[in-house]
Amino acid sequence: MPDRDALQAQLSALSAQFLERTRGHVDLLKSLLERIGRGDAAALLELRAVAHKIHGSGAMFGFAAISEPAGEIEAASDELLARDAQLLQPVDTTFLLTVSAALERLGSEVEKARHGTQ
Amino acid sequence: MGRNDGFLNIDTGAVTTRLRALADPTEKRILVVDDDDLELSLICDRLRARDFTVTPAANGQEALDILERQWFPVVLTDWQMPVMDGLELTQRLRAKGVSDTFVIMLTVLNSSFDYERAYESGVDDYLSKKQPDVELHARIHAAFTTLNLRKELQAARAALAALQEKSA
Repeated sequence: MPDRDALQAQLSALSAQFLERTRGHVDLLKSLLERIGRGDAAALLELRAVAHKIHGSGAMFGFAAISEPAGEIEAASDELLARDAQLLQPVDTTFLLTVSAALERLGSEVEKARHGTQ
Repeated sequence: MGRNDGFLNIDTGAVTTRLRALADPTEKRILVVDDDDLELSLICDRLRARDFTVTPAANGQEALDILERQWFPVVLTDWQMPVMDGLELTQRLRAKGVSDTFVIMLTVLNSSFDYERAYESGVDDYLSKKQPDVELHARIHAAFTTLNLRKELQAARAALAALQEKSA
């Protein structure tokens, strides 16, 4: 069985990569949200896909505080997609506020986790 | 040769086959399918640390191509993936008649997951991404135990069929 310390080092390195990647994803999600506000339906699909990715990977890497707000963004996106996937109507402020608040928390938790692992 | 007093004669060949099946645990090989490279590395590293032989695949189509060339006792697959998702991978695998591969679906396990469709696709078990490391291994261990029990059952049935044929 491989050395426990070596495994831990591998997992820590992967966690750090995950946090760095998610940091980039937070910036991407912010710009996607702006585009959704202007009626960009493709941006909504991408927002959902990225949020889903963070939701799952965050859980796998043990960052529940990162996974949860990503899950909220994913759920809000699913709701809007079910109602108006083509964004033919102006996007309601509830969606924008919900996602914006979740994004703030997500960004904050990513930074906390990054500083915690450094 | 056994007694001829209403008891079945014991065929030592059938017994040997059964003993061989019991003594031959299923090889500890797992195919892991996930489009996220970090998740894939995480799972593979954890499983390799427990002495499993792990083969990675980035999506369902890649996994199917690998399964064309090599049988795996256990497939651990993500659900949502580009090119081919985990449900379609499972459906196609079962449609090819592969019933002796245990498929575990890795998922966030929220209300949007279609359990019924997954069950109908032939998924054997589910594993939440929120599970700690210990539960991952518990589920994998349970999968291999199930496979060994299925093998034992098949061997016992074959032995019984052979005995019944002999006594007929």
